[in-house]
Amino acid sequence: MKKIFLILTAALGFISCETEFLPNDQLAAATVYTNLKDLQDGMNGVMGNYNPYPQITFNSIFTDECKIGKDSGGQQITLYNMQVTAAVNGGDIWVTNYRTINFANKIIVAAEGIVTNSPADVAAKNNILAQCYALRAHCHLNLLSHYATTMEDPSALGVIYLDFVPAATAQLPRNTVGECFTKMTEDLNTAEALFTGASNKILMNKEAITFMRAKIALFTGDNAGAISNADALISQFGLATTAEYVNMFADAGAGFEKEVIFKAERKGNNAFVGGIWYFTGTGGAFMEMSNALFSSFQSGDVRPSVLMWSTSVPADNLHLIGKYLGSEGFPYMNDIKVMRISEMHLVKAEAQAKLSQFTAAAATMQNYVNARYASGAPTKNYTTTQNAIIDILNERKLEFGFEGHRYVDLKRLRAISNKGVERNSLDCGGAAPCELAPSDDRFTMPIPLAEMNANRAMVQNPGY
Amino acid sequence: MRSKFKWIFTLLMAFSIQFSFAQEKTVTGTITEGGQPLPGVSVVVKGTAKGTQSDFDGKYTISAKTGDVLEYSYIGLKKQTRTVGASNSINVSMEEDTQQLTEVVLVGYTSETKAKSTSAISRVDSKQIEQVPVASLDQVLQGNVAGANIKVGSGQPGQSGTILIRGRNSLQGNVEPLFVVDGVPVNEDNFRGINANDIEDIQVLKDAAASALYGARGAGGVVVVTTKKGKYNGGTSIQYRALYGISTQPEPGFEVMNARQYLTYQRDVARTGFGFTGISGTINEGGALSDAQIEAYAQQSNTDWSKIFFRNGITNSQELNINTGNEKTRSYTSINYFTQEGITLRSKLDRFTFRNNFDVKASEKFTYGSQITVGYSVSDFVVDRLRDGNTGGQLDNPFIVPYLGLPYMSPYSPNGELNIFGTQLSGAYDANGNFVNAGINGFLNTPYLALNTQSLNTDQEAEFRGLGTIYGDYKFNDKFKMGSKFGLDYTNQERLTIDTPGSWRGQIATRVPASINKGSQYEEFTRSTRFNITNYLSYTQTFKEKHNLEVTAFQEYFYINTRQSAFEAYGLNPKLPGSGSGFTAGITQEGGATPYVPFVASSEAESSIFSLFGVAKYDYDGRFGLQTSLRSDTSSRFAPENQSEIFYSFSGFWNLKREKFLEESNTISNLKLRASYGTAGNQGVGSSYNAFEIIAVNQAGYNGQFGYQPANNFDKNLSWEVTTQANLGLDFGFVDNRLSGSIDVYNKYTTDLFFASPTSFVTGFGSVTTNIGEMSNKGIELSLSWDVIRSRDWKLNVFFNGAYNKNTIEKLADQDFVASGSQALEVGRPLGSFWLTPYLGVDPSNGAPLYLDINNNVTNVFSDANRRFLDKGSDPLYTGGFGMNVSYKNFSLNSLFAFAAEQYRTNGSLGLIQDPTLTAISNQEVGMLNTWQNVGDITAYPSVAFGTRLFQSDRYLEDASFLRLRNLTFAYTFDKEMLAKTKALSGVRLYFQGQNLFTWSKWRGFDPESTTTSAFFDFPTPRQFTFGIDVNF
Repeated sequence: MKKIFLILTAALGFISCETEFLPNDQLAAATVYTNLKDLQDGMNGVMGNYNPYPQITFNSIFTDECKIGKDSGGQQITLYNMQVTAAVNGGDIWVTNYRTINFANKIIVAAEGIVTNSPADVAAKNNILAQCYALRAHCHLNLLSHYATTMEDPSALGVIYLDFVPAATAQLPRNTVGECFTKMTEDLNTAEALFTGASNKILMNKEAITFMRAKIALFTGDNAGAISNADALISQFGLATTAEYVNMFADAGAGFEKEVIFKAERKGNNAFVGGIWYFTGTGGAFMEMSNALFSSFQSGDVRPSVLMWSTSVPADNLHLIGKYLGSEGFPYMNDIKVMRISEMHLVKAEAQAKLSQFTAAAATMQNYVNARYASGAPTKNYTTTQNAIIDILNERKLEFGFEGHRYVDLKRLRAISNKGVERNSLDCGGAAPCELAPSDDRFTMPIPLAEMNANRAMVQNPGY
Repeated sequence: MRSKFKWIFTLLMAFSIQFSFAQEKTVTGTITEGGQPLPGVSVVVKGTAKGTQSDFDGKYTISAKTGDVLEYSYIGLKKQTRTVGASNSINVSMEEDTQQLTEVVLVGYTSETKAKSTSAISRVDSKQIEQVPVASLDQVLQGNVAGANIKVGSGQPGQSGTILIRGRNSLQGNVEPLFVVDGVPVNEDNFRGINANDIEDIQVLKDAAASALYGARGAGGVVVVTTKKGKYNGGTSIQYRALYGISTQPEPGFEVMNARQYLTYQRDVARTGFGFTGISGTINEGGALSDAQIEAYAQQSNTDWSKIFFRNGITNSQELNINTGNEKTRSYTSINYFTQEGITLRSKLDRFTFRNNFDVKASEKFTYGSQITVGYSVSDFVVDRLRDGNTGGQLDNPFIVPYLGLPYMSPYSPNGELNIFGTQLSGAYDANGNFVNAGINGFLNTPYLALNTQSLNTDQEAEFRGLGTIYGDYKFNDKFKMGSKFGLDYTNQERLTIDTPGSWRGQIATRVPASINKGSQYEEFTRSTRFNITNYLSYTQTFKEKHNLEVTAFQEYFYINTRQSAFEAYGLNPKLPGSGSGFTAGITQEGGATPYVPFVASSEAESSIFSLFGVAKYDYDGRFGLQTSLRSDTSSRFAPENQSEIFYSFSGFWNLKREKFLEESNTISNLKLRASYGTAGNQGVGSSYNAFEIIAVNQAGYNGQFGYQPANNFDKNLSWEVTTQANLGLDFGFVDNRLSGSIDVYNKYTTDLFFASPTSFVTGFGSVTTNIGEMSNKGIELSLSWDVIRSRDWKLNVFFNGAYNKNTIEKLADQDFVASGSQALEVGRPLGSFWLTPYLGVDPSNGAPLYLDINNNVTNVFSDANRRFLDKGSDPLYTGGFGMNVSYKNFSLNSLFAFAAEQYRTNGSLGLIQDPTLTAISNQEVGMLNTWQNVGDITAYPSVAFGTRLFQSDRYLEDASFLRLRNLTFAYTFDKEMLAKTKALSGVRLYFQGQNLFTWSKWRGFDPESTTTSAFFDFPTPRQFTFGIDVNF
């Protein structure tokens, strides 16, 4: 009896006392990336995290593109009321861009361990690396255009240019604007050398590099560089006809990708971009298109038909945003056309105006608007840089409505235009401000409080 | 065996022969307890070895001589003595010995007598737990334990509470105590499958002497639950118990407008909504309603939506239990059916449980047994704030409706039935009678949408819970003993959620709203297995009769495995509800998309702890004693190089009553000093894998292709939170223990607090869980019990327990301050301190809300920058309970009050109905009629021109302190002698019971008590009235 009991006790005591477990549905980092396929899957993860929505949200709701919708229960109201502080509404653009950059950097590191032999494999690996470098430059440009006080002064504070994988405890200082552009240019050069084969419009590609170079040149005051890079692409891509323009936003139909240089594909279980303004389940709109935007519609222009949903009832002050009603069978989910050739025309015209080449600028704009109007395109004629820039801003508003440009455009051109946010009186009042003066500090976004708390080397922007 | 018996027989013969010479006579009698014959009572002639036991009829026969003293004893009953006189018959009535019952305390893995215990322990016995109509046993502790703060977040039947023992020990880790049922650590968040009537007692271990023995999981205190056992030699008894009653809505604490008030307010004050504009293109397009029109609407329907949504829920419990016991075995068996409806439609718990506890003394040396319970329960849920990551703001949350529901809308259809769809007025239908997607799920349609979900949809969880222990103990000799215990806690949950195609939520259930087939069905299967093996070897020795030593060594392994799988199918055939035959095939294409592709998921997680520990106890003649424990834990939650930690404790007692100077005292009947010091750990933080670098799979990926991505920032040095606690306690009793109680002071200090320390976003994430931060909890606890009257007919006892706990954050990450929402952490302040801009009221000159700016100047511009600490926190400083037990003959009245003081919450529910910007879509609090309108108006309600409420001011920070009459029971126990004549019944008790009858609080809502710091349409705790009967056979 005693013996049996002893044996039993001992047996129970030593049943597999395992004390090391790893998750069953996730992977240990050290063992994930072993071949090219794994690296490609990692790249899918990077692109899956690339997220332009926060930029679209902020640029549309903070500015004059939106008004409170009829089904509002208070959604996004603080942003609409221009409450932007380090703690509130300032952080998403910062967080999502750095996340994408960080993940891209980890793929660059992981690629070092992947052995490739065949030329096809070498090219495939190089393409992945090129995408990482180009995406890294693109995300830094997004950050810089929102968080730097100015992009024209190289000594001004820029953002952290993250070109390595930092430790969890990293506390990095801001680079200057000049340092950021230098590193961005290096990344673009590296990427360009690595790209081979045909471009894929839903991934970073060679043309996207030229596109970014044009924008960087424009933002830094290198107007000649902006024009030459823009021209390089204009010669490659034609402007869409009005029918093709409508198809472009439907992601289907004849010529729907004619203008597109790079777009973020949206399908399946991706988040609804329409969810920025709509309850996607019911179709109720808590944010609508503003009267400010509606009042700049001209007859004959194709762009309003994309900006505003046809079921809107303007007489009842119901203006439903129409740009992301859905495609490929998914409602409220359209590809995000991040880089389109039309922007190159507008970049070129802006650079020409800044160089006081008013006739050339007007000609560039005329060529562009003629494509947008089925009939009755307005005649462009500029006499000063300011009136040219104000007109270009207006055309940009119609061209890029709800695409995440408005705040950055107003911000970087306010010194010339002397315009801040000017909302229509029907869109504002009460707690919702009717304007934001061009001199307001909120034209530079606050470094998020969580970053300030975590990073002692971080310097806050003025006014926050 | 035969030879042994012979030997005893011979011995007995020898005695009887010897005594027969000294005028021996035969004494007989009947021994009873409460009028019932009591078998198995030991009867001994004092000073001799002569003894016997009473038989099944309570009768005994013993030979003794005149002048001998007979001692009658029985475990749990007071020892009685009688002197043999002239009579040959001595009948004895035994009495319960409450004092002796409390004497054995389980201190974790070992037991000891209360007189020798060094620990701070509160005990709740079965009387306070049984037949309370609350289906989660942890809730029953409220008001019964000094230093335990129990918060309940929802009135859903079976909802588990959150228990804090001696304050919060952790910033972001698990704060709840370890729950151990019959030696098995169980899930502390789920008790709905356990029958509280099966519980013999609950011991709450609060100090380090007790909790250090639980090592890595003891920092939050330990709640040790012991279930009922039979009595050896106790015979067989059968008991039937029934309980029936209703649950009903609590007092609201706020008032909303009626139809006339609301429409007039819309028209004249807010100048928005139906009363002001009519509804374009449909009703009253002309604009503002006239007085006559308002009157007409108000006459037509003036709905108090709370009357529609609250109902009286039925509680019904039926139970049969059997106790048996003979010399070698004892058992307790129970079977129970319990059903309870919540106070709103669809909320319900149905439960069936049985239990069998069985112990066998196989021999003098070997004892084994088991405690096994199996429960099957089905819970039906409403859209409860606490479920599924809800915020409370879901429009089909039934508890949003008494606030938001518009009074001018009728709850009934023209045919007189409850309208569960809505009307054109509520936006559900257009002028042609077609429903509108945005409208049916819109704000105006809230009450109908909530009724629609409650009536047509399902959210159900069926749970099978098996909880059992099997053990064996072997005594080698008087000194050495060893044993093993194997425990299993198995829970299988099957969740079924159906949004029927005909319901409003079913209309939008698929990811593609335009899909033709509507509705969705979600099922989730969760299996959680916890097993636990403990082996021990103990050594007990008494030297020179006074030096008592006990040393025990333990080995333990604990393993948890949780496996989960789920699917969601879309497009249901309304004719085949709940069946896979009704699902639309996943490959079905519509408009180029495949909206019916089902969602599938599967996951598994494991973790374990391996432990070695020991405890040594020494006492000198029960006068003073010392105890020490040491425990080493190895946990799988941490990286291999950090996964072991050692915890320890030292403690001692000094029983002053046993010293010469007190021994003779009549005033002081008990006085014992206790002291303890030691450490315990907490490993419970979020994920099991915070110490490892993990890559997750991003299923959505890009362009329809999955991707890998980093899952976290990780700290490979992550390790335990360690709480060091010192405790000093005094147990006392005066005048035959008429006044008794204990007082404890403690100081807990927790280091290496888990904290999601902010990281720069360049790391890809905003935080890393790491060990930083230190926190202290200091407090005092007092328990008192006073037997005011102890007469034959009258008995009166009053009791009180109270605790004060002060929490202080001693150290934070790099910075001394971290804000999070309406609260902030700062070194030197308690956890849960509110950090808000002070709200001062309304400027009479312009109706502007006034705030205090950071320089203490009055301003009418709200700014987050003016936020500050307000010296108000969400955890109470004072908690406790008190009550009175009074009985007269067969009547008794017992009361229990529970209180929590100095606790605050923000009232988001009230804020919403005081928000003028929501006037068009939500009913308003009646006070809004006093909104500022003209210069000079003195009012608490700002002008509507100033827009929305601002949550980050203290306007809605309210005192959520409360005093609650938690339980009131009036009972009548039938006379046992009278029942004895029936020959079938041995006891009958009838009682009426009220639960949460009264709540005194300044809180402006249904229920001041919650687990959340900000109220937002929470499911309130109900008031309950029940009637019960216990019948013993």
